[in-house]
Amino acid sequence: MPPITNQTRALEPVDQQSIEGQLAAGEYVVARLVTDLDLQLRYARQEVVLTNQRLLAQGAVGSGEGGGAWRSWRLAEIADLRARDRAGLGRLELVNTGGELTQWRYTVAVSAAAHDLARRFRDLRNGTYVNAEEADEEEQETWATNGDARPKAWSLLRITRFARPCTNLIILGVVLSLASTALSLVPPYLTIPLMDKVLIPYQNRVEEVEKSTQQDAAAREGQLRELRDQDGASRLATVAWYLTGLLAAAVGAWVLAWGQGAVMAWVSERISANLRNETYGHLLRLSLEYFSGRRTGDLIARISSDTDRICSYLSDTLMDFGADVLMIVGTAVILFSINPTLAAVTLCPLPLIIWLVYLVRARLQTGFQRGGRRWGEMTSVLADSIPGIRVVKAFAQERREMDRFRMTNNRVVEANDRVNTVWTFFWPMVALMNQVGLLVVWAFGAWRVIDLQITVGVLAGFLAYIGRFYVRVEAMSRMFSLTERAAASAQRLMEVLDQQPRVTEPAQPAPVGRVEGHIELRRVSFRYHSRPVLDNVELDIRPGEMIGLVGPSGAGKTTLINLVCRFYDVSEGAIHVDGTDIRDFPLDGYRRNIGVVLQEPFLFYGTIAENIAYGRPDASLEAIMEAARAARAHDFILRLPDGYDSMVGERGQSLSGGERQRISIARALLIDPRILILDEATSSVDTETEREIQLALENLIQGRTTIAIAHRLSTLRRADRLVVLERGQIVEVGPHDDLLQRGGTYARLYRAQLEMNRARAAEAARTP
Amino acid sequence: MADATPSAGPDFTLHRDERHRLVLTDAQGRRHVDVEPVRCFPVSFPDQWIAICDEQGHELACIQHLGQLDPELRRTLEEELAGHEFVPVVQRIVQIREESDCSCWELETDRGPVSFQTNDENVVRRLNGRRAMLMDKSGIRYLIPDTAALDRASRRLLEQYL
Ligand SMILES: Nc1ncnc2c1ncn2[C@@H]1O[C@H](COP(=O)(O)OP(=O)(O)OP(=O)(O)O)[C@@H](O)[C@H]1O
Ligand SMILES: [Mg+2]
Repeated sequence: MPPITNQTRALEPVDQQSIEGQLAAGEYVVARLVTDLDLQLRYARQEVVLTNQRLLAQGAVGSGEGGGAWRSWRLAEIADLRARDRAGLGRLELVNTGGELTQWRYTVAVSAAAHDLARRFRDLRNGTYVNAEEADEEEQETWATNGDARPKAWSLLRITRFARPCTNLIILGVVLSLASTALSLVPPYLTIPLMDKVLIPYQNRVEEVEKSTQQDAAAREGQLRELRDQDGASRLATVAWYLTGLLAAAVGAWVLAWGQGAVMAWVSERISANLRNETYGHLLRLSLEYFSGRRTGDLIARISSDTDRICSYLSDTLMDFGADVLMIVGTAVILFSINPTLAAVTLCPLPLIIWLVYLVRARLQTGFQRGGRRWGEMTSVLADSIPGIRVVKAFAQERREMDRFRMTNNRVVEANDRVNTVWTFFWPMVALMNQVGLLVVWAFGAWRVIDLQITVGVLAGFLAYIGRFYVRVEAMSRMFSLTERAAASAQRLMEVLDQQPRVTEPAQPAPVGRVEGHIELRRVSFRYHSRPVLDNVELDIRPGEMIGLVGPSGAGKTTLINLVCRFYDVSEGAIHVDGTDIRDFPLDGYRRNIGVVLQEPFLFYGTIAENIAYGRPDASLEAIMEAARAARAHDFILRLPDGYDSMVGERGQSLSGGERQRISIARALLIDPRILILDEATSSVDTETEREIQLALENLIQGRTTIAIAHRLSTLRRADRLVVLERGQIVEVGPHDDLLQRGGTYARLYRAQLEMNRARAAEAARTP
Repeated sequence: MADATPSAGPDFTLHRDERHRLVLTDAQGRRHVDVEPVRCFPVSFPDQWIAICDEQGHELACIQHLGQLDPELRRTLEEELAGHEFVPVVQRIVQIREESDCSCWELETDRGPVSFQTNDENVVRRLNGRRAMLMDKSGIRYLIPDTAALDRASRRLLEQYL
């Protein structure tokens, strides 16, 4: 089913009542279509309903045509009904028996439904219509799964799922961080008695002595000495105790902070690794359809840099969050318990800061998201141009690629600049508020001290607390922007994780062992999104039969085998293997029966042996060599300096096209598949090698169902039957000789190639 | 061209002729002069699957394991193989100098001291077990049969590249 956008959903709720009212007894809805354009191609909703007896249509809502009144045609009155698409725009045409034409227009968004309606009409007409209800239900489901969009801010919370294996450690980290914070609250508290009970009284006594002995210098000297020796000494001991306490608290806080940091670094590393694994694993399960609409670089960026950002966020910031909150609340409580008025003054800047946060939040959110997207675009340019470097060089377009990269790079800078100005403004602003707050406390505190309401010690203690307090407030506001950034990254990851594969595993999988290889295509139609590629293809391939698939380029040959491999699911109809719908087989079990040689052979970075054994990593050396011999790759492999151990480079770039093809044939043969699919498998080897591969394949094809696609028709001489595909439809089927006699498309293609070969041979004979 | 798959067992004989060329006589009694043994898996399994190829590089026979052969034949083959191969065995890594665009390795091997440059980031290729292989700019390979058996200093140097 092609994707149904939210737009279609929005258009869907046409009220059910009005249709039901139109239906006669025994009449039921077969298909419904809500077109989204009127005849002037302006947006308008218009409903077309096909029932088992009639076609009903409502005049466009919101346009002059009929104004919502229903029209109807009995099925017998309809001469023809068809849907046609062109460049994003479609039309549904109805011709009645009187030759009168009625049209509806729609965009691609609903073209699938339009085609569906037309098809069901044909089915009704031909009496082949079945189980409408079931199909309808399916559609409903598709819509249902498409509509859930979660709020973005929650993305980060959803990461907790990946933290679960580390729960114990996280708790340990939190406890450590809380303990270290609590310990760091102790020192200022000790400074208050240190001043008020120890130092200031001593100083006061000194002043008293000085006052009482103003005239007598000698007596003053003596009394002061006495004071110092007795009271001073004992006070020094108390000071030592207090200092020891301070030092112990500092050391304790340090040890705990260290432990917490180590634990958190360890945990966040695990969480982000987990996240990467999960995301990549999920990505691998998604269907080809998803990848054909994506850019590699963007996906790589999501898995690499976005997870990294989350990792550093978790280890650097998140753990501090608990500590910060505890610190702020703890400080506030202590401050209030010491002196409520002073405390109230101290906390003044807090509401202001919260208001600031509220102001910049939305800007940061969109800003960081934009930044992430642009970063993805930049990596996409790299992932696009580096593999295509030969084309770049061949057309001397290095400068242009550089410009392209520079442009996307500038866009990254520009996006980051924008959010940077927001948060760089934000932090110092918070710092400034804190400074102002400090001044206010000094002023207020000084006044209270002079007013004899509080002691100097209390003021000093307050100031010590406030220093820490504001540091935490600043840290938290800093963390807030980092949180937004991490949330943007999490959002990009969740976008991948929320994708459901279109090709799904069956709920109740049918057992699949080694299949016989009887393939039936039953009225198969297929569209890439809204673009119809295959139309009503019927084909029955016997076990062990070799089918040659021919037809002009773009006819849909590769698409057909994509369906057989279940890279995509059919839009209509079904493919059965050994009598079971392939959608009922577990995916990997089914695919294990298929060996494919793709039109563009792809090799992985690694050795030749590893590449051949890709589908069967445990294959013996002998089996690998056997497959290579069959694919006529053995001799050229032995000529390489490292034989089977030679590295082929990324995508196999150190091999020639024909060599790559032969390796990919060996790879398909090694898994000993029941169904062998060769898509232009020998297109890039010379005719001599091709003949050799043919000879080898002849043995291998025995007992395997084979579908071979080839433009060089001579390749398909061995095929039991040839299937000619043209514009998505089967036009001819039969053995070579029959088709030649019939004088149709195949005969034409064959003669053209024969002539060309002859002309070439003649040319070659003339030249020397 | 040998169309039948060459079997593993030695149903052929090998000897050197008067001009010191290696001659293979196959099961049908055909003589192939100047044949050449080739290791199929020279890096991962050097002693298994030795193909004997003719001058054009077509495979004539394939030996599953050198150990299966009678000592005489085995010696001949090993001699011949050794003549084609140059893979010094690393005994010690003296030093590795990193330059801006390449790294310079100084080794002591069983064939004497050597130093080479390479600009490949994957100079060291990890093989099965604890074996590893270095490859220099010109494609000459240096084998480390057991990374754990190297001395400490060499191991530490190597570690950065593994
Ligand atoms: N992923 C895709 N998305 C959209 N359209 C596609 C996609 N893949 C193929 N098509 C279109 O579907 C049609 C059939 O393509 P297909 O690859 O099946 O052709 P083919 O018969 O294999 O041609 P060739 O002989 O050139 O390989 C083409 O018009 C192609 O443009
Ligand atoms: Mg194709």
